[in-house]
Amino acid sequence: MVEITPHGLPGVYTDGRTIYTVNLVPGQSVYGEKLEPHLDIQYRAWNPKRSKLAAFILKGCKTFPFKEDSTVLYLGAATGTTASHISDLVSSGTVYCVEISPPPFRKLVALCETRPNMIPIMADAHSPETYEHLVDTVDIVYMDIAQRHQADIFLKNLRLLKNGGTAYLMVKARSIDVSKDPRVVYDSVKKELREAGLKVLESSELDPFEKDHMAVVSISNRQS
Amino acid sequence: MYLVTTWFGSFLIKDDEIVEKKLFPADKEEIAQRLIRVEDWKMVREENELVKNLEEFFVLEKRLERIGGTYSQEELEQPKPEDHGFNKSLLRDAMIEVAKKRLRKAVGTDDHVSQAVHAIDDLIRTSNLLSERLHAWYNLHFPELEKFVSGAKYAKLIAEHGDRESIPSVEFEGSVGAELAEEDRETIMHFAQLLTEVDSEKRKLEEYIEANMKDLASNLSHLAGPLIGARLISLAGGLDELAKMPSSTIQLLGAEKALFRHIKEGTKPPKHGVIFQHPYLHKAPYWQRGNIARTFAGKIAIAARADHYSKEFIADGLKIDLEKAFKEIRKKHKDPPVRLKKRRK
Repeated sequence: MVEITPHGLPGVYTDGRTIYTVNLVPGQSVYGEKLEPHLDIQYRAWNPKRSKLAAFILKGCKTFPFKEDSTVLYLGAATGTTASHISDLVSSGTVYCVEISPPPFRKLVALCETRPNMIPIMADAHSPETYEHLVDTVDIVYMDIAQRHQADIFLKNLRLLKNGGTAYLMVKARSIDVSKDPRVVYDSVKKELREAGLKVLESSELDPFEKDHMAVVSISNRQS
Repeated sequence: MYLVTTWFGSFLIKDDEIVEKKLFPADKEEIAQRLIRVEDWKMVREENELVKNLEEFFVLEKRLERIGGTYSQEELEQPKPEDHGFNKSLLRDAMIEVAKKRLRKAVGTDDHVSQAVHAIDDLIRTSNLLSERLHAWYNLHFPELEKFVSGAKYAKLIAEHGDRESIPSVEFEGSVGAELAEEDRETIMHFAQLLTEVDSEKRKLEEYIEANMKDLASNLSHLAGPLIGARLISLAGGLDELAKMPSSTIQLLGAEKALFRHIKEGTKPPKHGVIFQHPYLHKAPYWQRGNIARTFAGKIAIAARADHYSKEFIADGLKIDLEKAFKEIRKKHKDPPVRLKKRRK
């Protein structure tokens, strides 16, 4: 029996080593993670090697605006590993999960059927106009897409972000340029975001959980 | 006047006021059908009804230009689902319907072909593994058999006859192997049988790929062979993807490891990926292979595009061009390059 206490970030719990979220669908383990009961609540272990957001939390993430009723646009949801934890965090909110590739999307749809706050959208994040009629402006945009033009795709999707909303970008240096030093790539991404009028609140490399990845959090400065 | 379509209905909006609305039926199936029409750039019934008597109106999405709207980039306050008796859980149910419908349609012949390619690779690996074990095992009884036969025939002989005395027309006198007890004999025969089945399944899969490739990509399979063609489709992630690739990418499909080693560590760049399996390449002398691979990949790219877009059969002409180009290459680079001796450091 482990002692599970609040971690400090809203909705995130810890036993001192592992971090947890409260399982929205008790009994369900999404990707083989451990379920841990404590004082009548079931928690799901959040594996930093499988989820970049968990890695970011363990690396000391400070900006964490996930509230129970937040709406989140998740780009590149894949099979829903990280998206399921976000679904735990925003239990009465909504997670719009955008994914284009059919194999992971099959699993994602099955997951969405079990979680009332997850909405699957089979679309290409390059073209937000194909799904903007489905998505209200959201509180949080979270993007984890291994594409060369990650930053461009990210910026395009920010038109769906509320004013003052928060956006997370998980940068995969290897997808942008394999031959360059990842730090050079990180700097150029941050520069690109700033030039587009964003304020970069914090950023953190995700080593040793994810090699050659960085998490960036920004808020939009634009007034429209 | 603006025509705006949301996931729950179509609206005519003037000066931020909704003038007229046609809501979708509050049913996940009905909404899913409409959302799919929108994704496919078609009109939904409600839109047609709303603009029937309108002469001029503005639209915010390019799709609606098709029913006569004038495109505008105005930012408009969108109707809220809650104001019209809809909630998000209906959107979710409808989106799950849309997803299921899309997924069912997303599977094509090329998906089956690429799974079959993977299955062949699995069977080759399995066959080698089992074959190694069978040799080691049967060598206890009759090590000399390896000298007479090899490959698929080896397993077939053991599966059919078992002990060395029963195998026809093979000299077994003086074998250094030990006697085989009846129980051991039967076990080995069963095991050998499994190996022959693996090999025959592999052949069946090859026939399956050949038959499917003829319909799916006749040019590609005529030019590169059905199996290599199928491998290219599998590596590209579908015929549509292959058709979009530049020939330089096709040339190196399957050589990603060597390519990235080249980019990152500056080793020699690879000259060919899976197309190396074609006799054009592996039978060519090494110093011509780079040239041949480049030319070959160029024609493969054209073949794949013809297969995906025009669906015309042009491979005969491509093949003639290709042979001509190869002749040139052979003539031009007849002799192996003279290598300068490496200077000692």
